[in-house]
Amino acid sequence: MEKGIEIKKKTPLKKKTKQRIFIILMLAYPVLQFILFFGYVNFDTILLTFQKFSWSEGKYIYSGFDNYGMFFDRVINDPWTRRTIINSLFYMPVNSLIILPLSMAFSYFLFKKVPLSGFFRVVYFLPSILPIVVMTMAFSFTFDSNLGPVNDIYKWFFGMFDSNVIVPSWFGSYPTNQIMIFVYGIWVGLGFNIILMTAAIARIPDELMEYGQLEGIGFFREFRTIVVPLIWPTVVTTFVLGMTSVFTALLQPLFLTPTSPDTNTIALAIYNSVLQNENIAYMATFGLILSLIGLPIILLTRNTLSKFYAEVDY
Amino acid sequence: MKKIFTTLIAISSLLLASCTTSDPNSLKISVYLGGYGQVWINTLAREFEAENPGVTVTIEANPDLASDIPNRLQNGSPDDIFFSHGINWEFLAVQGYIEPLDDLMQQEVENGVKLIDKIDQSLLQTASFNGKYYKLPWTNGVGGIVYNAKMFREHGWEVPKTYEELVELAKTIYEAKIKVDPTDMKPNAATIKPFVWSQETYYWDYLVFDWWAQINGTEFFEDYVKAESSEIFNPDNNEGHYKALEAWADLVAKNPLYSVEDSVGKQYMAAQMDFLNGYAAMIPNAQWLESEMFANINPDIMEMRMMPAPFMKDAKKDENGNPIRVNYTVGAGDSIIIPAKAPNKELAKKFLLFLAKDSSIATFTEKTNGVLLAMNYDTVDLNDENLSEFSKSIIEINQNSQKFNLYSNSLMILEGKVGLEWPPQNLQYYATLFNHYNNRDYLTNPEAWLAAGNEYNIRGIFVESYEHIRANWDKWQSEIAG
Repeated sequence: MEKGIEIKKKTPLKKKTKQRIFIILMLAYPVLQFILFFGYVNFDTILLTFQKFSWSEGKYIYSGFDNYGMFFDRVINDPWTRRTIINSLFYMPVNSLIILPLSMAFSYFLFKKVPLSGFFRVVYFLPSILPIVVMTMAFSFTFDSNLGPVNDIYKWFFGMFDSNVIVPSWFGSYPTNQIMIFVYGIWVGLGFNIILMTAAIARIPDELMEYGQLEGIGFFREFRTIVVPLIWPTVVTTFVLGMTSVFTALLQPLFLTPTSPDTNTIALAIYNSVLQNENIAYMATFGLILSLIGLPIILLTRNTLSKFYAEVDY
Repeated sequence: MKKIFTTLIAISSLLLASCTTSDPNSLKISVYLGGYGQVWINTLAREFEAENPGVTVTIEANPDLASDIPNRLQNGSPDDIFFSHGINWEFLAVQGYIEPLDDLMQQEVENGVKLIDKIDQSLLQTASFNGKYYKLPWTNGVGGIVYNAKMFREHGWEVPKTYEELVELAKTIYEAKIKVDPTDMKPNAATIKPFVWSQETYYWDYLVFDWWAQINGTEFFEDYVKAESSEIFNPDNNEGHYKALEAWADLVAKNPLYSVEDSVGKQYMAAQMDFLNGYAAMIPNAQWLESEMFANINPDIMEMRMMPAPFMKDAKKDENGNPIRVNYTVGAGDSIIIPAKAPNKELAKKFLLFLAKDSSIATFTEKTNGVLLAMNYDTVDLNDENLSEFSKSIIEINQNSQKFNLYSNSLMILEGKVGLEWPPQNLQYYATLFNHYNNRDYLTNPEAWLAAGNEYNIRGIFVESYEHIRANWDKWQSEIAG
């Protein structure tokens, strides 16, 4: 039998295979990124908490639970470690219980187009788009004895009641400096939250608002019974973000009170440690333990808050 | 398709090769961009190129360099030399990321002088760790009280030579109630205060540490920086430390009105602007002030000078009975290092030898308005015409004082278990003390307030600190892996 020449034909890929390749390719980047920048980094951090640096060997060596022991020892015996944790904890109520309700209220007023709402929109948004270095400098200079007006106003006002009035040291004494950082946080934080809230309120169907108006409900009741339930998922997200600031508050104390140990936070302590390459293993333990304590609290809060109002699609 | 793929690989390889292979005639120097500016390094780079035809030097002047250096050292970078403050170089050196410089130290700079002998000997110990040299100390700084010489001259104030004269001067300035702006007719118009300072209270260290060393003698610090025992923190063995702080408290904290209002809460730039604008006659600061604020100096208002630290009554005396002048070296931890992975280490070392030449040292000082390299200036010929009066005052202090610093390579210090500047944790007490006295009751009736037992016990802080260190010393030592 005569052998014929075999021509190999390319077999076209099946549609399903093509789809699989496409999905794999699309997922590859985010998955790799997750494995590298979340999985590996966190795994390495956890490993680091069981190590300490050996100066004779020039590398990290296994040290068991020494760093964990050191953490609890410092929490008990070191007032500055306690101060750092307490300062950080205060960011949660400031963000979630002061800034959030205020931004909900202001967003609603802006939405209702109260007089001067356009002006206030700019006032609230401006701090969110300017660099934090500029904002902190502008804020602190406002309270400067020679560059800003606040001290003069303070002396004029309180001078009417007390001729020996002394202006507080806004950024030089504790707890005033910590309070000023929170005041700055409220001023700047409002803008960011208002952007989120106004976007959520703008999505509420007009019909619902009109229905409420036909029923004759007032501003407050409309806010409470229509706006809040419908933007609740955004509120919960913002609340939880506010809680996480306990672990992320860094730039405000860094720029407003750059050398004050009084206003230290967890994130700032870790940042300084990494910057100076000092006690990295201990600070990794410090961050990990506090995250382990904070994570269930944040998750529990989110789940509890989510149950307040049933989620509605609109 | 295959051809295209092969070509792409070839191009990529070439690109990669161009990134990793260095040109032996190319040198990259990265410099922390701060108060010294970058004119000095640009000038030195051009002079080095002129001396070495065919060599090209590129400069990166970067204000954020310090935080980048660890990554660049660990991962490799095109940098051949780093000039920066805030490098935790010991930690990086023991991991092998920094090129040892022992061979370079033995090389000749010029006229038979070796590099090791050219370095300011008071700073040599800041360059070695585990028996090896890993860095060149960068600057040999001067800090203390900067004053406005024009203001002093116009009002007939003398530069104080002793602590008592400084106290008297501050009182005179405060009580003179001279308006900052003579045309300001408001009843509460600002008047010239003796001092302005900022939240960066460690600038006071430059004066207070000089007082500390005046009392204890600079030789005290040879043992102190070794940090071998908790006993070095015992106030009975270290009187100068608390006495210096007491002197500061008596002058500044107990006289809150001697300082521009809310100095303790000011941003450092606002404090420096207040000084330049004539709100105060003196400011605690250092050698970089003139360079840093050059664009804002109005010669009609400001003639900047540094004063030598006024002598304490208890200052140690020389054989002639004169108090010994001392100078705390500001920035003793600033470093010049060559990365172990530098592409062109030999050329980098050649540049460091060039930097140590008298002509380069002079260029550095003249182009930085009086900042001194950590080198021996005995044979350096500085051109007076290129130096400001502020620079001259800095150089005069530096050259006529016994120098000391608080650099330590003890693991107790490097691991942050205890701090030498302000034990136990290097937290300055200035703000605490100032705020303690800056209250209405004290200001309205200080005698009664102090008589009521409100005096701050400064020695008590040091006793408490010492007892805390002594109680924890063994535990802290056991926490260090060694």
